[in-house]
Amino acid sequence: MKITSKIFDITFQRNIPLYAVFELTYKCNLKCIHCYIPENHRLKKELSTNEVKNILRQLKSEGCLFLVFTGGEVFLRDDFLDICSYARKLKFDLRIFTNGTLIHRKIAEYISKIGVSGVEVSLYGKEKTHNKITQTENSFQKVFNTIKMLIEYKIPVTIKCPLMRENFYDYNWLIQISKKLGIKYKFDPVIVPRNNGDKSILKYQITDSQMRSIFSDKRIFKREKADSYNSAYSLFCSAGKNFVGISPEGKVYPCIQFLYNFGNLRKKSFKEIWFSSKRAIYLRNLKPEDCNVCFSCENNNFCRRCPGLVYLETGSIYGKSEISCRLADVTKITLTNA
Amino acid sequence: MNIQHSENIAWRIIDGQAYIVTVNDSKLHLLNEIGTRIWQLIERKIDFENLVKKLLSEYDVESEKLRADLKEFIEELKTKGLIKIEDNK
Repeated sequence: MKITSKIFDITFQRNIPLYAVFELTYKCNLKCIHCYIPENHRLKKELSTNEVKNILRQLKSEGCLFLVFTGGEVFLRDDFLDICSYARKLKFDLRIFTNGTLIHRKIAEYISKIGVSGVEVSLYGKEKTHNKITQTENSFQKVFNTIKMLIEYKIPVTIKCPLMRENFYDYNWLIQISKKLGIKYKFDPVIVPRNNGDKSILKYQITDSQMRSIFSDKRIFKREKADSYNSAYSLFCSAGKNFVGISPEGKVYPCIQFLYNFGNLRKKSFKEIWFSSKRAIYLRNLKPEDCNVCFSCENNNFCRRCPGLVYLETGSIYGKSEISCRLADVTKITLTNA
Repeated sequence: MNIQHSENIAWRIIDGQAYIVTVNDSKLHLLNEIGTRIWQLIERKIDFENLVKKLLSEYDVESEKLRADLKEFIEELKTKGLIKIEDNK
């Protein structure tokens, strides 16, 4: 058995929070059209430096190894480098998600020194496209300079890009530029509703035919057999089992996209919330057949049902997600025609 | 010879075994039970002879056999970039 499978299985079975995505702030200096964070969230009171460090110590003692810091834009926090350094002192495997506009040479040098496993930078396309999506002039140039600088400091960089109607025709360019720079790239074909359920940004989703062409592009998605897709077993993913999301105000979620609140770290310890909250226990005890509609769906072999999307779209954790259903339809057609 | 964990690693002990990531290449390494015990003992800088003494007090093993196996194990950890070694001054 591969080491990655072994550690995944053990932590999944024992509910050890091996993977954590920690949102440190909702604040951002860009105004990306597809952002899932509602404007009023930016006013929420963020965890202090000491609160964050305390949570990191708790995550460590519960077995968390893989940690992602994300936002908002994490580099807007004055204490961000201090927090990163502390996380590395606690021997987390650390990744940083950023829009790349606030990183200067000294920061790159510092990140390189403390040793991070990766920095994932959002780049949406060529200059005109990128600036249009971020609604911020010169953002492209800043990001592009950052990417080159991170490479210079031998920091593993990944270009990360959600695909939308607005940037669909730039994805070939993004692949070419990533290859030229010798770095990885990641595309996400899904735009999700805002954290408050607002679906207005779904208008940016790519069309079915664009999605089919993405799904058949081996440079983006490795062709998988239908049987390697979902099974009824995974109608609930690893969120809340060995995966945890933490919000800027200390809420513990199964995943930052699955806003089923287990409790708040300002009121209770991580251990208490993770192992004793009614919601956490309830979620872990759900069986595939509890998702009645999806369990009996003829497309479930092609579906990667996301319970977070279901909850966001419907307010319930049992039903189906229109977005996941659409993806399953397209996957089925693509795989059937392959 | 002083032995100590390398700086560019991430690690946890889960179910009695050490899982170690080398952050430069994101490669995951796994140690067995005894390897994990040694891993714990070398978290802070430790002299080879002290390490031998500690292990001899914990395991029923002949001193020479332990030294030979330990040298091999330490060499393996070094090759994988998991530890750093300094010569005694």
